Amino acid sequence: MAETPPERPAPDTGATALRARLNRGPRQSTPKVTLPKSARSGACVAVRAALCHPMETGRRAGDDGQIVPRAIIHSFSCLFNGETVIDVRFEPGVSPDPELVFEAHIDGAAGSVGLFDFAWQDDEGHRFSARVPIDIL
Amino acid sequence: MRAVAGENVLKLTRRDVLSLGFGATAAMLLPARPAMAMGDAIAIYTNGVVPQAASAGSLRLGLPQIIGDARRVPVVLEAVQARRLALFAKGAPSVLLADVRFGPRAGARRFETSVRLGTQDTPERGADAVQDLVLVAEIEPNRFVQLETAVSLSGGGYAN
Repeated sequence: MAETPPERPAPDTGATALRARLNRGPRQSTPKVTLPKSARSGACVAVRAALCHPMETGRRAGDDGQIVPRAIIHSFSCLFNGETVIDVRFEPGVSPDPELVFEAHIDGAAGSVGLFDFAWQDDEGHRFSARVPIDIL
Repeated sequence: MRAVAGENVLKLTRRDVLSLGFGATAAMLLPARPAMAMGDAIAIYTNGVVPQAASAGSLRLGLPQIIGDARRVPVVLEAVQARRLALFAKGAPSVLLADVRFGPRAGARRFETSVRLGTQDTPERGADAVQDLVLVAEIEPNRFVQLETAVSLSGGGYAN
């Protein structure tokens, strides 16, 4: 009995496909952010933000001998409660899987929750983001 | 070639035209995109302001003692006071490596990441490649200071 073949799912061009492409070995394209769970208002906390990304410089020949086009994370930003902590512009000189460490100045009412927003943007138009809360003591 | 003032006439001789042609050909034969000179890159960054040498202790560029892999060199950029920081490497294909802006919620002016420090020039036999680094900081609006350091590399950089 001939049946119509099951409909093929549309090719995924979003985050899943990107993740599959970036997941070579241990690489993952989910941001990883480390910061303390709580901090006093007025204190400075160390923030570590990492994203696995090949950071192709556009100067390297791939397996087929062709130049791999440039594909880097070109910008990163960190906001705390909507205010800028740091804004970074990357050039191809930054290593693959860049990990950033910097300090944020915590400010807010004791007992409230502060929100950190992290965003990475790459040449291919992908946007990676993370939102991490911190308890203000 | 000389434009005569007052006459509004640009006189071009046959020789001028020929030399223009040669110039254009020579420009085409040069590498398509020569690496931008460090001075130019810094001037673009500072909007033409010449950075002063940083006073002792006001700027710090932390580098590992030994650089094994020049593709991934951890660096610490630190300033006592800064609105922006940028790291430049003279021998890198793209001289500016990273540009950091501190916002109102920034803590200490300190930023860590890792960079590629490989150079495009081949070092002499037996010698390590050397990369000249410059850390530029905007300490006040339109006031820049810089710190220069040279590092010697033992591993490859951009090629991979």
